[in-house]
Amino acid sequence: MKIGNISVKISVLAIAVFIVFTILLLVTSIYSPGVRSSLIWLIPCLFMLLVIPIVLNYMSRSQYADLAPQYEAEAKTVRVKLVNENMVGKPVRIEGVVERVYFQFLNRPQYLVADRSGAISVKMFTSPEEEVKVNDVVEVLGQVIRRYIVTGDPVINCVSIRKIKK
Amino acid sequence: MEVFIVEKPSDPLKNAEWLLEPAVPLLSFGGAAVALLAQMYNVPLDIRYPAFGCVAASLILAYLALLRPRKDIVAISTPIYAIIFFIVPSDSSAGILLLLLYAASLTILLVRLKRRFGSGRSGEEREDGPLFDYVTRIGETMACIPSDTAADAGRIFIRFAHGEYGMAAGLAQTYLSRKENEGDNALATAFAIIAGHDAQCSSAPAPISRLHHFTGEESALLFHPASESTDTEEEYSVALDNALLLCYAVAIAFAGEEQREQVRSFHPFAEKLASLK
Repeated sequence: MKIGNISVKISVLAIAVFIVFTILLLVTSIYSPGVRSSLIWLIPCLFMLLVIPIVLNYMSRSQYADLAPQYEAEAKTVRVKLVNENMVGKPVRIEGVVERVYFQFLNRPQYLVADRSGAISVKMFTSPEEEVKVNDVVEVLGQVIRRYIVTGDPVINCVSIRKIKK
Repeated sequence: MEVFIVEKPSDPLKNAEWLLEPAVPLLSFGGAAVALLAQMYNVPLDIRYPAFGCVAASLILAYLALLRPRKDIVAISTPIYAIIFFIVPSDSSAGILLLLLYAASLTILLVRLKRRFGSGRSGEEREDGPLFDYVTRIGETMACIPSDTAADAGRIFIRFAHGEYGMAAGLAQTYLSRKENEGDNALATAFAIIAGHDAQCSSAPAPISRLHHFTGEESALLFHPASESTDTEEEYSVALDNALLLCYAVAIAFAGEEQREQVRSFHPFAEKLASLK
């Protein structure tokens, strides 16, 4: 789905929650007629389960889209091996192959991107612009952060990930 | 001129680790065993007293996890569960089965911690192995490096580790532009490689073939052997790692005490360049 220039994606989890509550509401309203009078506000609430994730995704996607050009201008291209804990907060650009993809169903994908020098976790806190799969060659723009905010190994907080041809 | 040969430090904390690791199963299963014996011999003993073995074992496990460079969040959070299970008063009291299961879980987590998150302390404190040998070798073979030059090498290494490639390149260029530093030596080549790296990170990088490389004679002073690959990108990557490691080794071996300590705190980055972690 597209809102303006932003492609909005709803997570499988949000859809699953919506389906579960729809079934619950249907069953309850069939077997308990007393509930039917409340449907006037229960149905809008049910749809809010879809609308809220869509709005949140739109907001985060549009913010990331605004940030991408800034990172494009400032980020230095680095090899994965050179990313270290002293670079926390620095914008970087890495190029590599996606070795693993996790949590895509939550719209918070995490990738393991490797180049010849090593591999690094790339965390994204929204859905990517395009679907990225294992073995895709990608360019990642982001900021070096620690895995657990204040501790842990350096990872990349991804602002933009896009497939490139190499 | 001061020539510093790194001495192998004794590591009392590493020894403490060897004592603490067996303490995890001993304390947790020991507590469970005490509770079991008390029940067998009908000794009236509040289960919370032997449960302190599990609480202590959790704290030790969390401490061992915190020491590692890669943090295991599961092991670090075990004291929270120990407090919830065994200290916070609740309607259902902890039984011997819970103590045994908890002790088994802690032991499994300890094994997992050692296998998946490595052993030993973070690289900041470790000074042995190939990198230590390399620093010693540089200290012995490059006996004519002034401490000012070594301090420059240290500053360049630190700037580079921070990802400030422009500043590192600037410092390297300043060194190379001084007339007294003219000449063909490994350190000058290392500085030239680092100076060229900033341009390499730009949107229009220079062709790699035009960049500086170490000569055959200089290769004896390098950490990684020169790449035999025909791939110029690979060759350049190895040259850059060697240049940075040479700066690190020179700084550790010849710089003043204060500078040396600063550079030493970047040991984990040097280990990464040396492909030791």
